Amino acid sequence: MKNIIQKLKNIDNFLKKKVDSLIPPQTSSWQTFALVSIFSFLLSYLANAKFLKFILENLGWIFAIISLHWWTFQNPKKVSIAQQFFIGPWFTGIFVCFVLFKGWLLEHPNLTLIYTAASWPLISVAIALWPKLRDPGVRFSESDSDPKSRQKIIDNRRDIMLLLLGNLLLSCWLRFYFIVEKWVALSLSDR
Amino acid sequence: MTAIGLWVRLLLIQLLLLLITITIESWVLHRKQKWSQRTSVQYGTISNLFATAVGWLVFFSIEPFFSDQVQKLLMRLSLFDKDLQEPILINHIMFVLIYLTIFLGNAIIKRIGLGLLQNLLSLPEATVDRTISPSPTKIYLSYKQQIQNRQQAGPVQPDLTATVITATFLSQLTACLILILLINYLRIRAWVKL
Repeated sequence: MKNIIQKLKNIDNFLKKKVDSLIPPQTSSWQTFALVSIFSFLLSYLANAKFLKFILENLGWIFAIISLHWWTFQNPKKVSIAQQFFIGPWFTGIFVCFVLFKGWLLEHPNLTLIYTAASWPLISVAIALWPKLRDPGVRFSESDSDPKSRQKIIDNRRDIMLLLLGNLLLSCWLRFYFIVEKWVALSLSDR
Repeated sequence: MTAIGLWVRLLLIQLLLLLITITIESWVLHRKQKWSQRTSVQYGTISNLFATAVGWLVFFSIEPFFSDQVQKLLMRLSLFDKDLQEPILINHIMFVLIYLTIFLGNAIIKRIGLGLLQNLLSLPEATVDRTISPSPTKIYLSYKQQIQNRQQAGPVQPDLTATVITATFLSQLTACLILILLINYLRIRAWVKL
């Protein structure tokens, strides 16, 4: 009996921690977006017009993506490889892929897998490049003759190119796996 | 051989070839084009990644039109050590022609990529404008006159296209040699095991 009570208390503590982490410390935080997305799903469940349901559900997914992205930037240690390489955009990217292809998941699981593999790095790189286009910029201006800031812009452009091409190659490699699978199946059926 | 093992092996081979290609090409760019080491490595990396990505896209676009025979041939070529007891029959002239097309396409894509890079990452050393002499050009010049002209014009800006073709030739040669050595090594290993 005591054991069961202890276990129940543990579960209660765990749930309390989870709920406490969802209480926003300030107005602009990831918790706000998570709560808004939950509220949106709730509303979409209650709504009876088809059009309204569709809009509310999609808004809920969009808020969930924003919340997850914000969370990755709040806790960069949890989503980095070897505490060093930040892979937050790639973490968000797979969730975006899930949201995009969730409608086909039950009907065509194989096709969904191929689409996800091919588009995951590209979506992630689009998310990763979004801030890079802003901060030191990618465009030379007329008054910008200072060689240091010019070099900064050039470095930024080079980084963007490397990221884009590397992820394009990555998506090609992931897509190539399914072709190899087809070849192996062909060679096995031949024997 | 499972699909995932074959895939990982092919990817490792491509990674090895890419690294070697980037090294050789950046060395050639540094030597011939007189760019700094940093610049040449960056340019070599980006242009090579560009060429590889374009190559993959071309492969994916023509892949659905392969017949079963071609797919089996590619499969057997990519297996290396297994199934090589019986010889693979390839039309050699066709093979050489396909390889030449791939080589030229690679060089052209790299040249286009380097041109784009020069425009995008415009460095002062990469954009030296040549002054055009107003005097009419003579078709024939004596040797002395040629040397004098060269000294007047200063250091000649090397031709990028020739450099790219040299770099591609050297890197492809090395890649071929490494592939042949790898295949021979795997065959010998399989033969020793038998």
